[in-house]
Amino acid sequence: MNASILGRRLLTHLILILVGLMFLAPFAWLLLTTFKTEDEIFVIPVQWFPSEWIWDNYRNAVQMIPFIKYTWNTIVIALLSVAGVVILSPLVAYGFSRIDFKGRNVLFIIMLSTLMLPMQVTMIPLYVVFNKANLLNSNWPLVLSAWFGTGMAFNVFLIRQFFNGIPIELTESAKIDGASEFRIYSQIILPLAKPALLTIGLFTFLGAWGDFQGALIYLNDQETWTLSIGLKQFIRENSVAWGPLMAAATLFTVPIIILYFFVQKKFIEGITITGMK
Amino acid sequence: MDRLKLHSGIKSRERKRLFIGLMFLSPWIFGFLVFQLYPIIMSLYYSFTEYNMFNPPQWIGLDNYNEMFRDDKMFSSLYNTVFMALFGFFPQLVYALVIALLLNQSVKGLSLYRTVYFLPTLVPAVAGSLLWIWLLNAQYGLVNQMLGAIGLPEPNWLMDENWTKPSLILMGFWGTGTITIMYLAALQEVPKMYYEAASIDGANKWHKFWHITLPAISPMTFFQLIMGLIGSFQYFSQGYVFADSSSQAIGGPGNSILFYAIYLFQNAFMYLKMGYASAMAWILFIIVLLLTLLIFKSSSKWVFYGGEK
Amino acid sequence: MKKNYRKRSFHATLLLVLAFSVVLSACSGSKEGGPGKGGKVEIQLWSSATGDGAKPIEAAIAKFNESQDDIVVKTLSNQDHQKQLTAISGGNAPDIIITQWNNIGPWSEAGAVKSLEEFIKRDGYDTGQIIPAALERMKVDDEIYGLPISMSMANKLFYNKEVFEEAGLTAPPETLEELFEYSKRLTKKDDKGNITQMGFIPDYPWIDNVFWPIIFNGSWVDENGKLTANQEANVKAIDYQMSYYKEFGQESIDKFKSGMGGLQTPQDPILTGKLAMIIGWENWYVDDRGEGKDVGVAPFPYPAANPELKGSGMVSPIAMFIPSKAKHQEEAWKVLQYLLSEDVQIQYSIDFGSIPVLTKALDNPKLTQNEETKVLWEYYESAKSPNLKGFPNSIYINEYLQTLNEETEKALKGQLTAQEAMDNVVNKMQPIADKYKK
Repeated sequence: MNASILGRRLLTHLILILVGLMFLAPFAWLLLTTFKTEDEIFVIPVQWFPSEWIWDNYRNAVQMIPFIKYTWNTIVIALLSVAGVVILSPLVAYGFSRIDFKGRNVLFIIMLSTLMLPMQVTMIPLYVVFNKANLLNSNWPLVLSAWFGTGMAFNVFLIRQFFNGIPIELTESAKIDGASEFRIYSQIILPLAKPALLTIGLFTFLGAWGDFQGALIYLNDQETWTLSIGLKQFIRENSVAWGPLMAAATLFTVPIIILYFFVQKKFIEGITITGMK
Repeated sequence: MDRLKLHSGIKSRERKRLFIGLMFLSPWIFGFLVFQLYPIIMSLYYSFTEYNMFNPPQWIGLDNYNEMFRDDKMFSSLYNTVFMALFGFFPQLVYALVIALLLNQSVKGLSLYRTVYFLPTLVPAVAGSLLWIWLLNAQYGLVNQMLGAIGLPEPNWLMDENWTKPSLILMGFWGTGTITIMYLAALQEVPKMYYEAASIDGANKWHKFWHITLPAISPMTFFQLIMGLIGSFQYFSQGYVFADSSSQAIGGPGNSILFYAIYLFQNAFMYLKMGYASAMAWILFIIVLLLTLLIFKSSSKWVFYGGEK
Repeated sequence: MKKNYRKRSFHATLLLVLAFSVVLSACSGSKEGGPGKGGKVEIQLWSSATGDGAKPIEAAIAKFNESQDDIVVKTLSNQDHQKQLTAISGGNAPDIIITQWNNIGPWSEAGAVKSLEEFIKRDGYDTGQIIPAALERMKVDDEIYGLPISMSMANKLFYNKEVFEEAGLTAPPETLEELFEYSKRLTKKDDKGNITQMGFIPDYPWIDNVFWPIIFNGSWVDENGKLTANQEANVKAIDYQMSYYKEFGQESIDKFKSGMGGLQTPQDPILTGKLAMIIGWENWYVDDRGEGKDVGVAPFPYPAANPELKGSGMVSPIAMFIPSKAKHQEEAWKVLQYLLSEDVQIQYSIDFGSIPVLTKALDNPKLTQNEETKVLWEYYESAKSPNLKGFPNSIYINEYLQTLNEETEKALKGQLTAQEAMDNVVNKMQPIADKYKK
């Protein structure tokens, strides 16, 4: 009995490690590349380990672009986006999920359908809107798009699915006691949805962190640029500074890996709360 | 109580619910009216015009829509897109679920595994696609070396137009981290007591998965299906980067990875045919909307919401 | 309790709405343009160059800003095609845009680019000083819409000297026929029949629909607006490329290609000798070519039957233009003229490693006797050749080029004959061309 449990555990680990290695490969390769000289980056067949470890790429990466400034700009946009999203989306999701009113489904389909139109055709009219509102060349088109744009439909839909899964009995008694919908929302439902909120917060952060096209289109001042635009600075028309690019890409990626590591730990906290209720 | 009064009571309660509902929805309604309605209406209007983005649009009625039916490239891009949705998205969804189930077990070092499994999603596309292009290199790539070792044919992944879509699908498996963590979050919410009760009844693992886990996470599957559908039909970035780096031409070898959204982009921003691109966008919109409604209609049969029981 | 609820949720919403409006009003973007500090006019210049590639223009503009007291130019690099389009269309055009020349065609026809004819006539600006092949690219329907700032050219053949020596070849090929013969001698296979070294691949690194027809004296449109991509010279150009695929085999070449290292990387196929010869642009192999270096340079071969086509080549300039919605067009025009003055052009060419667009600059000793620019000397000289050409600019240019690309690819893969492929192009594009004919 014990042996079979042990065996099964080992097997699980074995599978997890094997598949994990596959998943680790791109990042490992990225990381190792940053320590190679330009000559070794391009050896065919792929050479995984540098024959001599060098740090130059990192030095160049932070010197070629104003790295700290761009990082700061990116963080500001990402945090503002996340803050709005985690406050607004669950509110809307609650309305779509747990309040039964006429026309709800129609509105829901309308909200979803805003996702179905490719952004290529709405980009210019949207630019006109921000231009008319005098918001160009600021962070606000990016932040407001994260709060109210198509991202909102995605987030609301995701959280609605979670809210729909919460048993009705949990809120029924509060309702009979005369608690308002807002109270039920903020005191019963919201705490239960922590993993879901973390999920959308994380996705919003990642989206803002990696957004290239939006940032490029709305930011007209080099001082306000973000990291993803900065990364493109290493790519010239017919030559690419691969070493520094990869080093910058690593610096670009590591903070989100750390962030993710802590966020996913919170998922586990999320369960225990659910379990207690 | 007489009927009329009862009726008006229901009416007023209904009205109150409507009010409360709209209150909760107000952030979205605000965003929709201020930021989305105008672009949507304009794109619909453009689709009936000839519009090069600089001169005022010229009304041409249904011409753009008529032209689409004569446009072979539009159809082949639609084919490529549907191909990716069918053979790319669905296997990836199943795969993401399997990984999520693996990660949902209580084994040591779970945090680490979860981080590792999400890594490829975080690596910037430039770096990721470079590595793939080497892995799939016909002569020296790891993939072909492995295939060769077991005596299988070694395709020219990046240049043979029959293999470019499979290459992209293969790459796609690496980027399923987001679906995985959403499934993971859903799995956390499945009440433990269901499993305990089933164990007492002597259900085996497969049974538990089929009768408890799968229905319990069906709201998430529903979400993934619809978002996957929308995403597949707008498949763009990876195809664009991939075509650029493998053959230096939009659409890749033989236009084999010219996807609908890429062709649309090409029409809008390279050929300055925003009117035609908008018509394409609205046809796409209608296709996706119909499929979404179909999934919605079917959902009452297979999606189980605890909140509605 | 119930009333309580209503108030609360109402307040919450009100607060939110209030917060948005505060955010919206308080943080409106700082508008640029208009009179800046000290009565100077501030104008915006956007360029598509990235990273170090943007430094030469930034340096030239810094000098301009110092040189006078009326105008301050702010440069912004990394502004790609899509951004430029969106901003112009969305009503926020900069005053000057620096971009690829082929954008001028579609954008000018669409009314986004200011015609320079008016300025040129008024100020008696001498456009004759600009290299004709470069200026020609700025014209749409015979009207000048932009000025070139620098020139790029493909008119040479680069070759790996060591590989040539090994094969006992002492001089580069002169004619296209010799190029083909050389390629046969320079191509090696292993015992399994895999190609391990190749002489020349006509469509590497990309299918070039402009370069090859130019070499054969082809054209794409005549003065009556009839498309000519299917005329004999153009078809010959494709047939010539196909002859390589017939000789060495489609699959073998493709497989070999996929195993070559990336261009301009340390594993570059020319530098490693895997590929012996390649079409030569002035900004490729800058550190590796010339006397005493690994890469040899020769004029690109010509068809043996047409010696008058010697010195043919493709010109691809970078263009500057003024958007028609720009707020400071007069000032922008002054900046364009400044950037085309001889000293600025010379410094820019040195910094950028490009070819100046002024004919007289080609003979200026600051370039022709400057050791720093030695690798470009041959290019300065050959930039005077009357056989330099380029693709005609038009509103449908990008669609035309794309269609040429698709059909040429089919021909090279052996799915169509060259004639069929080019007939397809004309059949598809002629109606589109007619539609835009004035």
